[in-house]
Amino acid sequence: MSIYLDYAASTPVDPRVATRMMECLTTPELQGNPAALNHHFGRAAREAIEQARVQVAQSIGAVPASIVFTSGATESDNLALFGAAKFHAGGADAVKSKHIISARTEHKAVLEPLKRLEKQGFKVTYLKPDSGGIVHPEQLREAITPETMLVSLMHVNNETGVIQDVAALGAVCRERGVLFHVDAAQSAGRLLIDVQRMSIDLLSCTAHKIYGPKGIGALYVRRQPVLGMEAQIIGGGHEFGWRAGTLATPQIVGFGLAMQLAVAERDIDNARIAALRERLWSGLQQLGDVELNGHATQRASGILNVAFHGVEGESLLFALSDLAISAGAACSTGSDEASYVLRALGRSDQLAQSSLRFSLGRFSTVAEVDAALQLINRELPRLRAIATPVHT
Amino acid sequence: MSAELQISTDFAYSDRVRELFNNLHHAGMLSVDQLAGVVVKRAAVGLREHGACVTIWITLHDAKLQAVRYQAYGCPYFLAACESLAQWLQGRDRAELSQWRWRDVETALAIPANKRSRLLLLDEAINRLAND
Repeated sequence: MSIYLDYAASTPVDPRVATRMMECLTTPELQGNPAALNHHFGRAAREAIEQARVQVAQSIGAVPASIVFTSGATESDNLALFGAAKFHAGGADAVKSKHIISARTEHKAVLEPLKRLEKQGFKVTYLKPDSGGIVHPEQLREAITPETMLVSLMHVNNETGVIQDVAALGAVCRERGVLFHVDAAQSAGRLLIDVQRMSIDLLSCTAHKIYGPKGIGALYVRRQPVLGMEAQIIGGGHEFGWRAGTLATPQIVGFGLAMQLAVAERDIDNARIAALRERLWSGLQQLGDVELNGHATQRASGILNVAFHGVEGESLLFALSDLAISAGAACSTGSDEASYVLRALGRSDQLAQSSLRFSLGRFSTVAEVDAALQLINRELPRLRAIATPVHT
Repeated sequence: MSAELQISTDFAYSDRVRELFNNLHHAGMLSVDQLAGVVVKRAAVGLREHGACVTIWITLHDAKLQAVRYQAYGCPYFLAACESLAQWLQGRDRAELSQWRWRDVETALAIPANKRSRLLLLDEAINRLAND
């Protein structure tokens, strides 16, 4: 028995997407280089890519020319942060362009580029969310200074599933004339996003969180008015000069269809997945001494992060090895350090370390949730019974 | 390919750790019946806040260890090491306690260096049991 409850780390490819990608891989006329527009094979591949660009753009209320294909959300985050920071730091308003605002609970794909920018002379303010993981617009408003050039905040936290009110945060940025980057790796396709209405200037997204292939993502870059950004990968002028490299036709086509399906089936998926999550949470609560990490209601349908009192997290994860779950961000697996995200929410090191993330998705079933609960119900009491009492 | 160029995809625990973790036969406390008429020694080391702690009970009869039990909080390596230690202790003379070597357990269980502090906790517990 092995049950996949790690959809926040990566989703299985939807069979419809896989079929479309296989068609793309096996159709001779789609094998050309999409940049080779002088012949039929190149143009056919390019047409398939442009169709996918439309699908991705429509899913976030953007124009197709604002979509830059990348290798995934991590690259998109890097391009957004380094690209915008370096472009604006070098201009006439260079003095103004040295302050960036983000939050302590961001993904490492944002935090590590910001650390590098700090070493390069930028000043970064890291907002502390409240105990539910929410960054409030008033906090952001207070943190913005005349030197602030960029705000980078995630839409849905990958560990807790907490949803930020990006429309309200974006309104503050727009009001103060500051660029707004949103890491939407966990939300694009899953939540309603309208980059215009939400005042978003840059948005990172990826295919493998929405039942598309790994290795492909996109960065939305505002076009009206045009946003200055310095390319980080050069050598060919692809993607409007912002990201060089031959485009991966099958990946992009798969991404486009995955996004289209995610948007079309969003309401049905979310309702069904939320019901499964509540079934899981209800079952875990019956075991006792568990706490929900993150805001109780302002959270994504598929993510459930739970603190288990009286048990060590690594041992619980090991005892539950028939469940594909996570002790934190997938990218940090292997480390026995407590989650910095949970610590930022005020959890003790011990409780953060005793927390597990369950994430459900399109292919999760009631039977899987019940089987997971059965296993947890067997292993959790066993480990708790073994544990030394707090006061011995 | 040389060893340093090989990319490991194995994040799993060793088979011995798995075996011990799934069979923590000595976990628990000693019952009143077990304690009747025998000398009981107890050692408690570590803190939950630091990620690992253990309480070990042993009973002695004519300086020979009889029952061994422990309660432990920690990672799979630590729990497996506790069980390994309990198995080693069973039936030994008290004078033999000083012969326990944490490095032998580290090797036998393939415990990574960053978990070494857990084994040092057990070393401290053994010293207390031996010298109390």
